[in-house]
Amino acid sequence: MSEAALQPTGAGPLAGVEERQAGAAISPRRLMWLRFRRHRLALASGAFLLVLYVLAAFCEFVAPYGTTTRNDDAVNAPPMRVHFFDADGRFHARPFVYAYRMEVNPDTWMREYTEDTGRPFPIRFFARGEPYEMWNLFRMDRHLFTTDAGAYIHLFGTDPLGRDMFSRVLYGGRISLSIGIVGVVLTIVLGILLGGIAGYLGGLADRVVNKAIEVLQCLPSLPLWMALSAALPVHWSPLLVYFGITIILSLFGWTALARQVRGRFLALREEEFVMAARLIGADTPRVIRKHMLPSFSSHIIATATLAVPAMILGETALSFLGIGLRPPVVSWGVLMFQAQNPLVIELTPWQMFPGLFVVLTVMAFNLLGDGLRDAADPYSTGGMK
Amino acid sequence: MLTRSPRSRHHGCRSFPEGTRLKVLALGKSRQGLAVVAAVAALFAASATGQPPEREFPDAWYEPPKTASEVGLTSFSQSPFLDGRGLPPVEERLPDDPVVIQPYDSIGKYGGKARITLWDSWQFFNWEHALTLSADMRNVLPNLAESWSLSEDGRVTTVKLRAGLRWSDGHPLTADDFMFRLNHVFLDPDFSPVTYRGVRGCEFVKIDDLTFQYVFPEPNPMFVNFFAQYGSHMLDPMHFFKQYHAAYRDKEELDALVEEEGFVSWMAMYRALRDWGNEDASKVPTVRAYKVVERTPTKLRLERNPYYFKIDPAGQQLPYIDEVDAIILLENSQMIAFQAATGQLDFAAFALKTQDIPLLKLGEAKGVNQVHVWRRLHISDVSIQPNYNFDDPKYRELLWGKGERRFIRALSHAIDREQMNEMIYFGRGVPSQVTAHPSSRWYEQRFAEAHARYDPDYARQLLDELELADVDGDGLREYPDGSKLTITFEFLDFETPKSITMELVRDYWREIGIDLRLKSVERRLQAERAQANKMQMTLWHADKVTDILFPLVPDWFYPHRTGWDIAMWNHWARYYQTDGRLGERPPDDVRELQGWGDALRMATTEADRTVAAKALLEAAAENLWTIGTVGQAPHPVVVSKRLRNVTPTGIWGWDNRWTLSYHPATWYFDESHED
Amino acid sequence: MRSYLVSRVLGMVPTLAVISVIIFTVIQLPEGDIVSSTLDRLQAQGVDVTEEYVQNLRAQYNLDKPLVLQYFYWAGNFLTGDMGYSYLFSRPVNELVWERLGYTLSITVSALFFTWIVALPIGIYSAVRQYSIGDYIMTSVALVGLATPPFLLALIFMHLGFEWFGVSTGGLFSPEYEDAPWSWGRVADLLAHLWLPMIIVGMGSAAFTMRILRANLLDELNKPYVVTARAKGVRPAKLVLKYPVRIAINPFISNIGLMLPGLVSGEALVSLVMGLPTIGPLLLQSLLNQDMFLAGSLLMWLAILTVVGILLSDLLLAWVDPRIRFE
Repeated sequence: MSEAALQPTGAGPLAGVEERQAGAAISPRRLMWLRFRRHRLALASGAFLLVLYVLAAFCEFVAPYGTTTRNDDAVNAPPMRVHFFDADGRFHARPFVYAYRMEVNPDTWMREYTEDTGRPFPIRFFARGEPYEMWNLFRMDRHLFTTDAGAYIHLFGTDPLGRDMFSRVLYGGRISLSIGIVGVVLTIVLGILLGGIAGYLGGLADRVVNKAIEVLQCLPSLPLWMALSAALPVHWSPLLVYFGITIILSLFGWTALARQVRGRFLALREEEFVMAARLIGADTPRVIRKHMLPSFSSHIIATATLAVPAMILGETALSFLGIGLRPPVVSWGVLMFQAQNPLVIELTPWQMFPGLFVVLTVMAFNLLGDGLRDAADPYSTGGMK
Repeated sequence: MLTRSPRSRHHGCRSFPEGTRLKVLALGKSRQGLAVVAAVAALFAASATGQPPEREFPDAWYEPPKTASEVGLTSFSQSPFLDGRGLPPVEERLPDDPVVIQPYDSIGKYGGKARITLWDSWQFFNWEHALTLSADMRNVLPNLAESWSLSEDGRVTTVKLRAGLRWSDGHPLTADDFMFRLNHVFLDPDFSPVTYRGVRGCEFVKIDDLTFQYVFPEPNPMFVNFFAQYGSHMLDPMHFFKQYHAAYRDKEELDALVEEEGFVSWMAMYRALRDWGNEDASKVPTVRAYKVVERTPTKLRLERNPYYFKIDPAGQQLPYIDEVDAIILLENSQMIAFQAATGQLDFAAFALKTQDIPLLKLGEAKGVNQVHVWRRLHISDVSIQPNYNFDDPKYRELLWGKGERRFIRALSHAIDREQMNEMIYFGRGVPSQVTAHPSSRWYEQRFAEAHARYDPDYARQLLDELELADVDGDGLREYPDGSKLTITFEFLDFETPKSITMELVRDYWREIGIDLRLKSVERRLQAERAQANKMQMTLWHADKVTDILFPLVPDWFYPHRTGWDIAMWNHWARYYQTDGRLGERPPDDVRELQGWGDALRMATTEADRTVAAKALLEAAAENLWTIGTVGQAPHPVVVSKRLRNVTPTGIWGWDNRWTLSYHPATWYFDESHED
Repeated sequence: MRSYLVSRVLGMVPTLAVISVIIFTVIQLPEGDIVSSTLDRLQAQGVDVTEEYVQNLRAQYNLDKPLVLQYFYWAGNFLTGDMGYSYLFSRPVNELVWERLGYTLSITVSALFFTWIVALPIGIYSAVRQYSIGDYIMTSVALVGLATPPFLLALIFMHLGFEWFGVSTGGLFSPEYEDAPWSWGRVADLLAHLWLPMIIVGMGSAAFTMRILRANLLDELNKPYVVTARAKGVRPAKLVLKYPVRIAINPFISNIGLMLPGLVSGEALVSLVMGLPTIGPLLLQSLLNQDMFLAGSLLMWLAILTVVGILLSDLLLAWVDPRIRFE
């Protein structure tokens, strides 16, 4: 890893020049982008997240199987290795995997898998495979990669019911990643609304919201999340539970943002351009929408980005405890529920993959958020001290 | 032939939907074939007794235990743990003629402190009942009692206790302790608002301090089974508990005590004490091998009961192990599995699952534990209970309407039990419907295999016949009127692999277009929702299927009881329990079943009992009251490297109280083999 | 200082009152109540339940009163030390809570100290030696630590702990000390068992604090007075420790308030995974079983722990930094 990659403030000389030359002529948003671009690690994280979100968005196409498709010949099977060279050392342009050969060890009761070199399964790209409904809209059967009928491929191994972990991690990503985003959108709405009201109106409203923030910030969130999600009615459909959990997660997440918005509003209220707008006769919503929000939207974006990990970790923790989402919904937390025993690491380590994805995603969001925050700060020198 | 005609109770029944004809026919058929069946059963029983199956355990475990005088033992010894405690000599603490227990493998050594979780306390130091069971679950054997007898008419059971038995505080154990439990717990209207059916109308007759009778208004010949299996519930130390009982204590004093201890009622306080549920547990006298020294919210600390009444063949007072620490891990079976696998527990089994076996065996490979694989008693690890009394007319019509038994049969035929056996049970379970256990003299293979064939096409055909079609094209069937057909399935995921099995079942049912929504709930919620009849479908494992319990509590075979583990016909059961005062009158065929149930419980001859048993089993096989999956599954019993005398095989379940006949008091530590 | 203390302590009262209302609302959410479930049980057993009986039962639990009154009964009882009765365990809640509360407290507090002990030197080192190999390693570890869910950490550490050290993980004491009276040996034993949950719970907040300290210190180190001092030849160690660190450390204390809720949450989660005898597993069981008296009391205790902790940190800050008292 190069030094620059880990150096959030390490700016290339050119970028600085560009920024200074452009001077007042460029918009704040462009300015932010220019500053952000210099955080290579943040940029990389952004790219990583983008890929992840695209994969999750198109998981029906990317995943070779659905979430409940079982391979009855592969219970707790390890990840398959993709080969270009066969057992005799011959090269094949089309990559392939070998079928599993399974034996239950009579002493350890372990299912032991070996590669059946007599049965290669060539990998087909953009080929027809298991039919699915893209976004519940279009019936399709093309997959990014799959195998011929009768063959199978499990890049991340399988779970105790012989379901493809790779596919499940992707589908799980769709839920976990979207909970992060949906939750944060809710958080932003709540935060701006309440923070804005407090900051703009001041007085009683300010005191009430402030007290609410103070109280909520000193509540341990996980126990309350647990209490709330345990109260979700049994008969709710998976979709309702999904939204229920998302709302529960946002209920306690808006305080940081609201506090920040409030502070900004308090400061901005006194600024001349706001005063001017009000004197002209703009009504309150218009003042807020047109003049105040844009002036710190970049901050909101940065704070929101940093709030996503908390949502994802919250969902994961709740589902891991068995009181969040539940099967047949697949999320990273739900997948982790099956790996509650530390010895899973020893026995079937591939079933911990969802955890790895949680860690990577949260890390990427943290880095991205840091970069955005630095970039959004109009007073920051962008590391050019 | 029957003591009471099953039909005699209900004349002038109201009309029922036509669809029930099939069920009546099924019962009718069974009745025609009864004579033959009885004869076959008699033959079967004869051949079974003529050629006893190979014995896995010491011969002594199949027979009434010998006493010291019978084997010529005259001197007894005690654990050094008890030396210097100012106790009376061991000869005086033991009963007049102590019971000699043959260990499985070797005579043990005293000492050590066992580390277990509270979940395994009933297994590690089992209860001591007046009577107990033989290792093959076929016979009732004496334990605290030295003998018992049943009157000709089946109404009177007489029990004679051994002389010189004592509670752990040295107080003599007498007939009064049995009287107290019956009269002041079972028959106390405050304690038990509804009298438990097994003891209804029972009268306690004390002959002398050691001899007493249970006298019933009706024949109750199976009471001795109840007394043996359920025995822990048949006696309480009266000298201790009367100070906590409203019948013996001044009301105001008792109320003040309840208030002070923070309980809601004296009954709750009594129960908490009895279950060793609070700090006062150390005061409660016991007959079990261990008594409580201290109870904290996180641990139960026990030590040997100095008055325990059993000895080993060398004259050493049992148990061998001096102390037990039972840590209170809340329902966290993964943590228990981890601790068992890493050798941190001396004994663990209750909370372990079949799928845990490879994981537990990791410990064996590392040399930190031994993993024995027993066989679970449950004829089906998951017994799916559709709620016939669920408060939704459309759903009820489906289960019990014009479509006859098609819906349930379709659900059963959709399950691939062979595959389930391979995937979850390593192919070592036995696919089966819910019926009697193979050890039972009433077991028939055809009952176990009824409607168990995997045939999704046939299942779909049955559903099509019910006009359950997929109207909106989502791959799932709707009710005939077009509304969504969704089954909410709440269940308690404990003991057997219930969750993973149901995930598989959900897939199977989806393939035939049935939408199943699973939610695992916890113990209390399960109880609450089951009792409130709020569960559309639920499950439990099918135990109570051996000759010991099947005649007494045939839960899966006719509506007679409700509980957290059985929520399929609450209204019908309530009607039966209250003789029609409450609940909902069941359809005629079900009334008939209830009649067979009475007949089974009250039959005084083997032939009558067999007729009734076969009728119930036949009806269950035909109608599938519950849907069975795979049973008699491997069950891991994990013991530490140093623990000896635990049997390598065994039957694991409620009917034989897990370890009752495997004598855990003879388990001991061999520290020399620890590495 | 005294007036500040009084005002802060008094300010805590409304906060706790609001929290208790929130918690009471939350525990009212699940459908059904203790009376309806008792009735269901009795009816299922075949008891003919009379209207009078129902009324009596409802009165016994104050369920016939309006919700507001019910709240006051609940809160009033809590204040007088009567936390009600746990239906799940058939025991008074008081008995269930105390011992576990102690363990929760010790894990949370030790995790807090762990946070400081780890974050302080590493944060200073990382800032002073910015862009050194050590800095990269530390910041990377902090990044990962911040991103790993505590339960995952717990699983990994438990596995490693067993693999490498054969550490027993199921409790807070070795068998030989479990029943011993308190002694130095027992304290040492507790610490020997505490370190694993301590590290796991404290990992996230340590990473968080270290990053903050590093950033603050970097800002401070670039200030003119430091540059001046450096130019004048003040020894590097003295230069850093004398002023910048002292200023950068203030957020350490004020951050307790921000960290505590997270630590308490993390503790609950980690205890669940590791089977530790703290509030966490009890809370989960009570919630899953809808034992709402117990759940309410536990939630309330966790909140009190946090609020008192924040108060203490405020007082500490006021003591360290006199400016605060005059605000």
